[in-house]
Formats: sequence, C-alpha cells, structure tokens
Amino acid sequence: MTARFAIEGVGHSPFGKAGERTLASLAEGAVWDALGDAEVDSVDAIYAGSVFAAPGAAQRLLSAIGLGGIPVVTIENACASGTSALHEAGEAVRTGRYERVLALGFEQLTSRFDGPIAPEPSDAEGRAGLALPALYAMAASRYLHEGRVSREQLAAVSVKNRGNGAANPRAFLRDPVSAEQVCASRPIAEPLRLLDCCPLSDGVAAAVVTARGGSRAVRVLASEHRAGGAWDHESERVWGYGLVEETARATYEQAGISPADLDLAEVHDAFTIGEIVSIEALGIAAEGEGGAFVQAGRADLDGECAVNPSGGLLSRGHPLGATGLAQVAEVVWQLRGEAGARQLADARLGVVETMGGGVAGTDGNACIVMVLA
Amino acid sequence: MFARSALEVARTPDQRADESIEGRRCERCRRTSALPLVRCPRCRAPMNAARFGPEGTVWSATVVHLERAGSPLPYQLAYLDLDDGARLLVGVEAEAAAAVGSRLRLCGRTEAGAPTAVPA
Repeated sequence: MTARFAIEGVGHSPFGKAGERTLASLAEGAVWDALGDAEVDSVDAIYAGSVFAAPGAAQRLLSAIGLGGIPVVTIENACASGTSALHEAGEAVRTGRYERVLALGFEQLTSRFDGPIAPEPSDAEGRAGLALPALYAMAASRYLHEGRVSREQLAAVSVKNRGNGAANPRAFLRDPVSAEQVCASRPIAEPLRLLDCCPLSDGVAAAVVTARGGSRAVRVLASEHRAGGAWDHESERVWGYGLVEETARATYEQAGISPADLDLAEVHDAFTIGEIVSIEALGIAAEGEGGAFVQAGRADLDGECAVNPSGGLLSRGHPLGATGLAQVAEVVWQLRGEAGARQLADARLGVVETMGGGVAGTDGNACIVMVLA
Repeated sequence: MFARSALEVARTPDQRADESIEGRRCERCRRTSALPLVRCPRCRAPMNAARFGPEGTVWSATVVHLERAGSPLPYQLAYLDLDDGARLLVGVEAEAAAAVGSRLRLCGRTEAGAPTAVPA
C-alpha cells in the first residue's frame, strides 16, 4: 500500500537534565545524527515542535548548528508537539510542497521549572491547581473505583518501562524499579506516586522525511491528527480516551491494518495510567483490560505487542516537544533492526501515539497516531 | 439590540453566590457547561449564563502533594457532577479524601477564584 511519506533518518539526544550542555549542543547531536542517517546535509524546510520555547527559539537553535536560513515553523500542540511537527513535515513532502524536510522536537524544562510543570493560570482548571499529575490522577482514581485497574497493575507499567529503559543509552532514568518501590514512593497526586510519573527532562529529537524514501527508509503508512471535543459531564470515558480512540481508528483505517497486527507501540506513558488508557484506546488491549494486559506480560518485549520498548516517557523522560520524535526514532530503529539490546525479534509494524492536553473541558488538545512499517 | 457581555453578567448580584457557580446553558439544545463558553460545543448556538449548584456527586478526586499558591500543604481536587448539569473542578475543603460517588456542596472560592466544596 502507498505510504503517506518516508522517514530517511532519525536522531535523538540523551534525555535528562542538560546540566552544562546547552540545548544547541543537544540539538547538534540529534539533528546531525538524523541528517547523517539520511545521508544528506541540507533540507528545504523545518517544522519544529516545542511547548515552552520562547519566540524565535527554533531559529536561534538552528542558526547555532549550521541550519540557519531555512524556512521554519514552530508548532505547539502540548505533548503532541513533536509528532505534530512530523505530521506537518510529512504532509509537506507528500503534497510536493518541499522535497526534503526536517522535523525537530526540542524542550528545555529542568532550568525552567523547579518541580513539576506549573499549571497554566489563564486556564480555569489550571487556576484551581490541576497540574498534569492531578489530571491523570483523576483518571486513575476513576479507573480504580470502577475496578478497571488495580494499584499493582499501575505499578507494573512503571516496572516494565524502567526495566526496558535500562537498555536505552539515551534514557534519563535507567535503573530498574520494583513494584514495592513504586508503591512506596512519595505521593504526588493520589493514587499516583513519584514512580508513577515521568521525570521532567530536557532533550532534542529529529527526523528527516521525503515523499518516497530510499532503501533504508521507514514508511509512515498513516498519520492522523485529531483534536478533543468537549470533556465534561456528558463524557462516559476518562479524559483523553475518546480522542485517542478516534485518532487511532482513523489511522488504522488509513493504513489498512488492525491493532492486532502491531508488533510494537510507543505510547503516552507520561503517567502509568496513561499507558493503560492509551493501549485500551488504541485497541491493543480490550477496554477495561489494559492493566491486566500489562500485568500478564503481554506488553513486554517478548509479548504479543511490545509497549514502550524504549522505556517510554517514564524512563526516557518527557521533554514535551521532543518526546514524539523520540518515540518515532525508537520505532524506526526497531523496524530497521538497529535497536541494540532492546531489539525485538520480529518488528515489522509499529504505532506511535502522543496525546497532550491542558485546556479545561476539552478531551485533549491534540492527538497524533502514526503507523510505521 | 446588543448582546450582554460576559462581564455584565458576572456583575449581576446573587445572594447565594457562594453556593452556586455561573456556567452556561445553550439557548437551543439546552446543553450545560461549567465553563464560560460562548458557543455550544454540541450545536454551536449561543450559550447563556446560568447558575448551577449547590450540590453534586464526585466523579473523581485526588489529593495533590504539590506546592500551590506558595503553600506546601497537600490540597484536594474533585470533578463534581452538579445535580443540575455541568461537571466542575472544585477544591475540596475536608479532612478526609472524598470518595468517588460521594456528595459535595459548593461553598465559595479560593483566592485564585477557583470554586470550593465541602462534604454535603
């Protein structure tokens, strides 16, 4: 089947506290790795994704690493900013607007926020103190009440992803954790504890795309972008579920596949409940059975669908704008057989899912789902 | 003929302001919202000011252990499904964590202007 576009090269910096390293230094590594992987040294345009970047940040960064003077657009779509950049880049080459485009995701959070990301004061719910851990905790609390997940199943997500991340040299948190450690870690927004939450991180990731791609290219069979409708008393599902489900449905239809065909998935585990809700909405696990799916080992590297083989956001970290492109990089490496110690035995079809929010009363600001082969 | 601005509506006096919130109701399909939406998310018609409260049922709740407004003390939030429609995020003023399905009653606002509720 005809692909939407092709990924010629990917790159991603170590994620974590940048410390002495500047964002430009991280970007140099990620971007020139992607260009080198694609065997090129220039692009026609750049789509960048970042949530908290200051005006001009993308241009400042690109000028510093030898890519100034190339048209660039910066996109903010919450946690789906990086995949939004890739989605737009893909559409640009697919329609012939440009021949070769760089998708760039970047974020520097550790020097900007002391603790977790401060909620947006201009938002009615942000004003009440609904930080992202609290928003996800609402879903976890509801799921626990309905018996759709157990505290042990939430912990199992963290144990799995931290275990996978141990084999990811670019991941922030690479020491495994036990279920006991997860359940004993300090409460953040009940029932979520510290080890149910991804760490604040800095990082850069990039991908080079063309319409058709060469012999090493990975094909994006489908890429869909949807925005959440109203999420309120008329919603029957937890926040974000409907948006991910609808986006995935459209993506699978475009790709001509069903979720049972997927060998791997890089999904939005900003919090443990996030992975469980995502795999249900993606149809990888039946609704209400995501926790059981993970607990039974079905999402493990040798399971029927390896979920977050990279270690996910929980281990790799979550520099908001860069995350989506890091997820794409992992799937590309897996499909090519270049994932090293994390390599799956038979990776032929993968999905990337990002979903971000922060607008009160809305079922997610944006969701992007992509199927790669 | 001119439309009443949201600001004009907000200044309308209401003796039971503490026990209710101003939300919106669609003038065509009657859908409700706790947020000051201008157009209905379902049918796109204009939404008019409407008051909701005082009681509702907890859809979900969480005790948050993060700093808020400079205070290090944990605080509790709940999504409250008000009896007359609209799901509202409230700060819960209670010793114990509110259980999903329990009843709360609106009781005022925080300094930041967010609505608060107590066990009913």
